[in-house]
Amino acid sequence: MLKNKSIAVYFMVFIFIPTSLILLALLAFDSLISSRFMFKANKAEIQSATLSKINTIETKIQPAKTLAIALAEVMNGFTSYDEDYLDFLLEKFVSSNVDVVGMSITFKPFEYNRNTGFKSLYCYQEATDNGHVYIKDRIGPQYMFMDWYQIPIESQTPHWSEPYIETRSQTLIVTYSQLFYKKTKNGRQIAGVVTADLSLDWLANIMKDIKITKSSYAVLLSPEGVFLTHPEPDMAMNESLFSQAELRGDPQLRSIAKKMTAGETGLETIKRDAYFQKAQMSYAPIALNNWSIGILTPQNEVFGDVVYMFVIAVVLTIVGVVLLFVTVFAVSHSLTKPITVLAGITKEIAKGNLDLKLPRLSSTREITLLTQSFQQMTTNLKAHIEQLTKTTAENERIESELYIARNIQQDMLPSVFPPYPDNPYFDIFAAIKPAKEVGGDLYDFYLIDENHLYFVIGDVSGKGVPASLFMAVTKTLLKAKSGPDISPEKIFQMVNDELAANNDNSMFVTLFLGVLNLETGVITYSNAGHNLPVIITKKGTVKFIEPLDGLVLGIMPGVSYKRAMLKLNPGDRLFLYTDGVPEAQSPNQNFFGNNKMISAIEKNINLPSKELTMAMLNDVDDFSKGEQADDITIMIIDFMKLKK
Amino acid sequence: MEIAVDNKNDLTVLKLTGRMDAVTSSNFDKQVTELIGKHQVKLVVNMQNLEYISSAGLRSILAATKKLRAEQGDMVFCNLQGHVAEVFQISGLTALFKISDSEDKAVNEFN
Repeated sequence: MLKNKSIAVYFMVFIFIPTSLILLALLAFDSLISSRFMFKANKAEIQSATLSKINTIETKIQPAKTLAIALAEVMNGFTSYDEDYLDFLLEKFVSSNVDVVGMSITFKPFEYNRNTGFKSLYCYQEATDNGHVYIKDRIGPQYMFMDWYQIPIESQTPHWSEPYIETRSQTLIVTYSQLFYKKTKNGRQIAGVVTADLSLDWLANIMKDIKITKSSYAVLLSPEGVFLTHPEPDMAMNESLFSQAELRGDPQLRSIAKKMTAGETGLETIKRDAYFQKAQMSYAPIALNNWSIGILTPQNEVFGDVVYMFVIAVVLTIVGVVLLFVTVFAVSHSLTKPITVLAGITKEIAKGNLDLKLPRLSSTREITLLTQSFQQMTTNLKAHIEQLTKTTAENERIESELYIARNIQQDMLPSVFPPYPDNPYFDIFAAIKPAKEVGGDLYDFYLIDENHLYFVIGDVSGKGVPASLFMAVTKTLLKAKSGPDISPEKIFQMVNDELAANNDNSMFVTLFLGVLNLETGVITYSNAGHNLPVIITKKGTVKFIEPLDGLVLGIMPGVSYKRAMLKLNPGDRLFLYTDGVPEAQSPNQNFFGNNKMISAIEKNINLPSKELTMAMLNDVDDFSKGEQADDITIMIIDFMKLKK
Repeated sequence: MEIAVDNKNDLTVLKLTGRMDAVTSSNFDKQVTELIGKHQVKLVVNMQNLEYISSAGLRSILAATKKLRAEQGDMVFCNLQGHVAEVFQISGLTALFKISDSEDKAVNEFN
């Protein structure tokens, strides 16, 4: 899928996208963790604030209970009562705590003494310019109908009253009632209640202090759910959470009110509040006197931090992603740009424009190396091509010259066959097959006079141009030195002296030279290291002539040669050849050899000379499988009839 | 073609194995040039294992002999056989070169 797309795409797919995904995943994960953490922290904070407030309140309230219980214990020890002493006690107790603004000892009917139906001693604190004073007082029989008397007496358990406004002082107080007993014959019986009045004027301030978030606030509920404190002063002591729930038609508020008055602890999200849309409400009971405290924190303020953090994270992530995108893009572009440039220029070079200089691209090390290598390659290529062009031109020139040389050489050797068609006494056929364009084999023949045929066959050492030059010189010298009445060995002597004179290269030539007397059929010949010719008789025998040795021509001057004679009968043929025939090699390096040559002649003996020659050449070619190592020459002289 | 070089006293014996043609004769040329450079100009060439020699090979031998004789040295051939012996015979080089039957006799030629 990515084949042939830009590196930029590659980068995008494999670097940018995964990285962005990772960033987003991190963002999501981070938000999740932080929000969880924040909620937990907030919750903990709310709960801790709640508990701390509860603690404070309890600490403030506790003294009322403690004092009442202590005084009740004292009362439990009396069997009879002394009014003055009781007043004294009351004053002592009330003065011991500034928040306990009054205490009473209230007797059940006739418990004070048999004669007294109603007795309630009271002591209260009053603030003056000089500090507090303590005032003795009595409560009238109406106490019988008061909650602080009736409820504990009837339930026989201690009782915290509902907060109420004390008529005399017009302050909000709450009263704790503790039963006291009198010993009887059977045990004990309830004698009355000791009460302690606790001022609650500190309450509102304490409750105002609660500030978890900017706009959070706290409420205090009485055991009945009445707002003891509320940010709206009008609500305090007038409304209850239940009435609010009714007003708003919010069942959740109602259930919370129930839970709170039941003494439960919890943290809930409530929907609508007078002040804000959603809020967290944390509530807990004040165990001491069954009040409960509720702290409201607006959702958006709790969440505010989290949202704030999330927004920042998102913004940073987006910025990061954008930066990443830009960076990846820029990087990939900076990488591809030099490559593209390089590719473009290389294309031009490939078209053949080798003179183009590659630009100096400052880029990564790899690309710089690439550019340098390309430049190097181009320079080398150019040099090679120049060299090749020169060489090719040279080769073409040489080839054409060789071709010309071949033609010249061919023109040197008699090539018209039959050479003397009107001559009834003899015929000659010769064929030469050079190994290269030009060769070192030679043959020649001509009628010296009307009765004598001069013929020669030879082989220069080597092949190709050097041999062909030597061959040309040799052939020319031979013809020049030959003539009527000059014997073959004399010709060799003269030609050898000439050849050896200017021969530094140690080249030499093998030759067989003969003169055929047409009147007798006798051939006078000399041999200079050449392969022995073969006589093919009219009868059909094939055999080598008698050996005659002599040094090859051209090595050193002053060499003498021998002469011999052989007789041809009419119908006989003389088969001459160069060593290209017997020394032809097969691909597995076997030699054709003299025996095979003789056999081949015998095989084709009935063929006329031309056909015989061609057949021989074919045999050799087949044998060497076309790989010709040396020049091959065959010349056949047909002696047909004696000249009379 | 392989050329085994052996030193006997102040002579060098070259034993040729294989074929001496246009390609391999250049090795022979190099070898001789090297020996001449070391002033080893008395060479015995043992052709016991030489199966074939072409005209190029003969040229190499001729050239080598010329060079050695110019340095007051010489080349003696021994153990010619088969095709090589024939070629030497036919080309008349047996008259030109010093040829012995055995390596020992060839060595003696120098004394």
